[in-house]
Amino acid sequence: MTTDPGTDAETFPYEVCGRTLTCRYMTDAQRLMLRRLVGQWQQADERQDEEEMKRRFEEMNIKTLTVIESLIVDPGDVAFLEEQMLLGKVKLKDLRPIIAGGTTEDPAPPEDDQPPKPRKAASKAPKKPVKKTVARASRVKK
Amino acid sequence: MIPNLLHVTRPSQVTVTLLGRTWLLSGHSAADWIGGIGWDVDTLLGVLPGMVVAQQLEELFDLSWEHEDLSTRLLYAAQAAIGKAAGRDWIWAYNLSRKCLQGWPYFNGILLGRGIRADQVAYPDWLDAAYMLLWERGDESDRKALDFELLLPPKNMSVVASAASSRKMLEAFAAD
Repeated sequence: MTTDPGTDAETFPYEVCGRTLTCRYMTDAQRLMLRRLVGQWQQADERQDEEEMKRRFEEMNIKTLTVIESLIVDPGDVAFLEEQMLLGKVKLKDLRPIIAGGTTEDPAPPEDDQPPKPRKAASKAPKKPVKKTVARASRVKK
Repeated sequence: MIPNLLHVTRPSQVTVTLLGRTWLLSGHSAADWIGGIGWDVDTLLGVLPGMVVAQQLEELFDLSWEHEDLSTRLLYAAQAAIGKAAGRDWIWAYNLSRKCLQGWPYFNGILLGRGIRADQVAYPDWLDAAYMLLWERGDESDRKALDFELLLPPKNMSVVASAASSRKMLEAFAAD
């Protein structure tokens, strides 16, 4: 993890098409807002006809791509990325991890109809020997 | 405008000024506000941007890229929002909300038994009820300790304490 010299924001590397991009992290506030927005856009989709849904989907993708490009430090990397997307070598889904800080997105929630995973057994570390204190009998001077 | 003190100090709809604009927050009930605080008690993200109304969210998101100090500004605005929503000093409202969150089954359980539902009662009214619950179950010493505890600026976050809250804290300390 390094820092962006322009803003001191922490950065992380992300590899796409053999090129390593330097990316900034979204703030927690931005990530929360984006999650809310995606939820809103998806809800709007359910209420629209097919044409409107396509339009909203396209708008959402453009917005997501804009966000991703905002996180890439080097404008040269942005230009490279756009070129690769035009060539069909990179899809938006390949770039989504950038929003999540380079990791895979939130794991799927656990299935409610599956048994819980067994807890890991406590490690059997060797017990420290207990110091035995032996009460010394007091010497009684007779 | 209705000249009503309670309407003014305990508005049903809260707005905050942030980045030069006015933002409307969606919280109404105690559950909205306490839940918003509880989402992240250190950053108050559940209040801001969590409670910004849907119609303004995209605008705030677009603006967030232009301000590197947004996290700090959001925190301060969230603190102000809590104070406005509670009709009290935000530190008092935050501390009491957090205290209730920590013992939620206890507080919520007793107030439910009294017919006070967090999802139906306004935030300031619920805080009044929770405060009285603590107050009536303590003796004089407990009440003084409670009042002092509620006025202490939270250690877990940067605070813009109002002059009024600082004065109250000093008065409470001096009374001790």
